[in-house]
Amino acid sequence: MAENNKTIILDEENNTAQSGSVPVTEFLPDDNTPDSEYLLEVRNMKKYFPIKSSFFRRVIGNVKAVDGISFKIKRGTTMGLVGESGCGKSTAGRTLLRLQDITEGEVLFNGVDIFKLHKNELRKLRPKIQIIFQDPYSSLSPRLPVGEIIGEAVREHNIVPKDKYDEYISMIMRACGLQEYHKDRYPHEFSGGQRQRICIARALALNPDFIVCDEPVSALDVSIQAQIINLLKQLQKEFNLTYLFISHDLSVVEHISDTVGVMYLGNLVEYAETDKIFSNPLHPYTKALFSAIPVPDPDYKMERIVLEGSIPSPANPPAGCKFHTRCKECHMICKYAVPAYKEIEPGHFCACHLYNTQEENDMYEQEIKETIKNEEENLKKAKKIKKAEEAAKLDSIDNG
Amino acid sequence: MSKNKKKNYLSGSDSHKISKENRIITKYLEKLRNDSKRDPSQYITSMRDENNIVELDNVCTYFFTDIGVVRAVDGVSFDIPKCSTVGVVGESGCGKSVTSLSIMQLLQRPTGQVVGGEIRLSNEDGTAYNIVNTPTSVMQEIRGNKISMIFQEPMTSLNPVFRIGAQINEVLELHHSEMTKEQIHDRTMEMLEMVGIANAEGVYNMYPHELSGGMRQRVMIAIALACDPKLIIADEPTTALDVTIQAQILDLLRNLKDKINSSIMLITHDLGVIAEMADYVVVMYAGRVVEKGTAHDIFHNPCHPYTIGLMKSKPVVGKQVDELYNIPGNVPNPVNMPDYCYFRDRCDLCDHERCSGKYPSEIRISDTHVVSCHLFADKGEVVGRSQIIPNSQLLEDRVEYNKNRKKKMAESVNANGQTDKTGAREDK
Ligand SMILES: Nc1ncnc2c1ncn2[C@@H]1O[C@H](COP(=O)(O)OP(=O)(O)OP(=O)(O)O)[C@@H](O)[C@H]1O
Ligand SMILES: Nc1ncnc2c1ncn2[C@@H]1O[C@H](COP(=O)(O)OP(=O)(O)O)[C@@H](O)[C@H]1O
Ligand code: SF4
Ligand code: SF4
Ligand SMILES: [Mg+2]
Ligand SMILES: [Mg+2]
Repeated sequence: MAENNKTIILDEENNTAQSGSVPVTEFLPDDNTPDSEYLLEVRNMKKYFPIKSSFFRRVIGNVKAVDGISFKIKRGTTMGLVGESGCGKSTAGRTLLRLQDITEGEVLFNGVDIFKLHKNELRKLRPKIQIIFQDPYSSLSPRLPVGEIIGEAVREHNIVPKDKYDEYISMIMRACGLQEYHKDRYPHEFSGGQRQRICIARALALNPDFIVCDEPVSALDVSIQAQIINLLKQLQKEFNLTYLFISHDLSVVEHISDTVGVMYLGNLVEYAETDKIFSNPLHPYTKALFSAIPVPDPDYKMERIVLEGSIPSPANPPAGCKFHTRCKECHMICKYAVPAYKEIEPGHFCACHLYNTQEENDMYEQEIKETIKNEEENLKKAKKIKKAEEAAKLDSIDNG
Repeated sequence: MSKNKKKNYLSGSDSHKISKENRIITKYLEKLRNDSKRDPSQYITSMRDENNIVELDNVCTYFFTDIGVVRAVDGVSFDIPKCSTVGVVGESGCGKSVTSLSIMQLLQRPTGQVVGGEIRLSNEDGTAYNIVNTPTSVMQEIRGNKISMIFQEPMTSLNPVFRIGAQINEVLELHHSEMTKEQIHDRTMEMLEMVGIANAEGVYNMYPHELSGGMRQRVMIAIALACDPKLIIADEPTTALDVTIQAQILDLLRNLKDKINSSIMLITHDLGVIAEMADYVVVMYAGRVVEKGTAHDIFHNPCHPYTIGLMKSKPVVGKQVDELYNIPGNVPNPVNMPDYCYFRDRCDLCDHERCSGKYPSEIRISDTHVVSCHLFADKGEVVGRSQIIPNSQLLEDRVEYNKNRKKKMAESVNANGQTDKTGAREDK
């Protein structure tokens, strides 16, 4: 039967990107961006989603998906963002691109607050800030050929002069390891790895400075993961791109990132350079997270810190340190006081009471004592009032 | 798969011919399988080694599709020893899931069929079932009682409209008709506690959508364990989960295995998970086993170029490399496999003289370590060649069967003087 199938295989999937043949900048007008060391700065960003009551659609609470995070990313580097499912990584990524409104805080791109821009200004900025999604299957329009998917926005934003357009698209496709004849094909004709290449090409074609990669390889096979990671790294070098790389695969994050931020329930709990955070994690959550990474060596016996339970609801996070319900090192102040996010070693930030100085501890304890005292007093007062009321009632009954 | 479909240009008559042939073959195989009155001597055999719980011997599982025969699993052999964990790794589409579905007889029928080989399941009394020939009615007893399965996406395998408790009860009722209602309830609670659900009473009355992914996977494990199976097949049990939850579930599986002393067949594409869990490792590529051995063999002395490539392409924490290795090219078209080494077109170490020959035999390079690559031809003893079945033979079988049936019918007509309808039922 096999002989009857005229199997014609037209192409090979894997064309390792041919780099550096034509530099992109040749086609592009010079843009003189202000030269500060940091491309992106996020200041105390918050994003709440309102919870509405089912009857009157009144807001009865908030899902605090991102609850005040701050970080900076240097030009041409990659920041990895890790954490459990539902901790707010994707929300953070989408918000800082202004794909949705911000609840509070600032996002400075090249020193300009994205959320203060007018529509026209934002439209001009759009091509510079791009995003690549996790699912290469649903993020491409099935009705457009690949050339159009990549080129649509290029024309809309006039990235290159008209006469250079065709050449430019071919060049971008080649840089991403796609063949020119793929232009006329439709997304469903491609494998997962190739589709992710198309997504990358679409983002890259707009000549961005900054790309948010939201789990770009999680849906792909190990061998294809390696191709895409290599491609992202190589493009970064070539075009001096800056990435925010969101993933829950820590070994991938370690490989690609220069700095790493760890999120828990809407907050950054630790941030440092990749080497530093992997060799010396400070926060108990980071330690647990890293100890959960399976190591491909059967003889490796690790001390695994198994976190009990799952992440609490962001609509109703625990008081004090949000991690205290699962933390093995939790002590008294953790349950009451929110730990400050501060620089513990140069460039190494962490939010945990274990790293408080003696004075800080005393201060927290003092505060807690006072609040407890206040509470007790309030309770006493309430009791007294109750007693008085009851006595009054009895009196009135007696009198009556 | 869809990609291959697009690139196969079949004329209408070709396609028609294929589907006609498919129908002939699958009809024949289905008939064999549905024959509940089959003589036990046809499916009761004995194990090669009593220390194994399952032995796969040259298993071939094909899908008879309209674009041709997809050889999803083609001559796979490995053993699952008692009380041990066997990890199966490979790229997506290499036949890991199809292997496990063949053991469970849960293939999508009639397109998917085990067409050759033996899958022996120990009965622990010296006899064994050959699952390939076991009729569906007997297989229903085996599933759940002796083998059970945990799937990747727990939401799709739990029924959304029934409470968790009811779903576990149901499994117990099905397999233990002698238990009373209270006993079943108690056992369900015990199972839920065993898989580490703290609030068992609460979860008993919940619906699947009220649970998190990790909890659902725990419930699935509870269901799988409900009848003390001897083999648990876990197909990517943690792929849909977070690292921390993954660590919890792996911990749970490891502890449970010792508690109820059963074996685990763990399917995953994460080498880290395999290293942590497995005693033995089977590496599959394009429907065949390319290398197998103890975890130590595979991780410390990987031999097959594909295994080596797989190891190199995964980033490892603490190991800095500039660029990850990626295996060039892609898997050959499963409808039209070459007759030389399937990995040849992607292989870095290919030796053009030797590797252009026939598909390499399995070579035993140490007591536990078997590799299927020409580079090792003189490094050990040849233990076998996976016997693949040429497409033409599938049809011949059917012709043979038809002849036999006609002969039989004629005999029975002669003997009884009338056409006996049951005589049409094949026995051979
Ligand atoms: N549009 C929305 N409306 C209401 N809640 C939302 C919305 N989007 C996200 N959330 C909630 O915000 C929290 C953070 O979600 P987010 O998608 O950012 O998580 P994540 O860290 O990216 O997780 P994953 O690893 O699963 O992708 C979750 O609790 C989620 O349910
Ligand atoms: N129902 C089906 N019909 C046709 N082909 C199938 C079917 N299920 C699986 N296959 C094919 O069998 C091969 C192995 O698939 P599978 O065992 O699911 O891979 P994996 O190793 O990722 O689990 C693939 O080529 C796949 O396309
Ligand atoms: S502040 Fe306390 S509870 Fe929070 S992580 Fe640190 S030690 Fe644990
Ligand atoms: S047989 Fe040859 S082509 Fe195949 S894996 Fe071994 S070295 Fe490579
Ligand atoms: Mg997300
Ligand atoms: Mg599978």
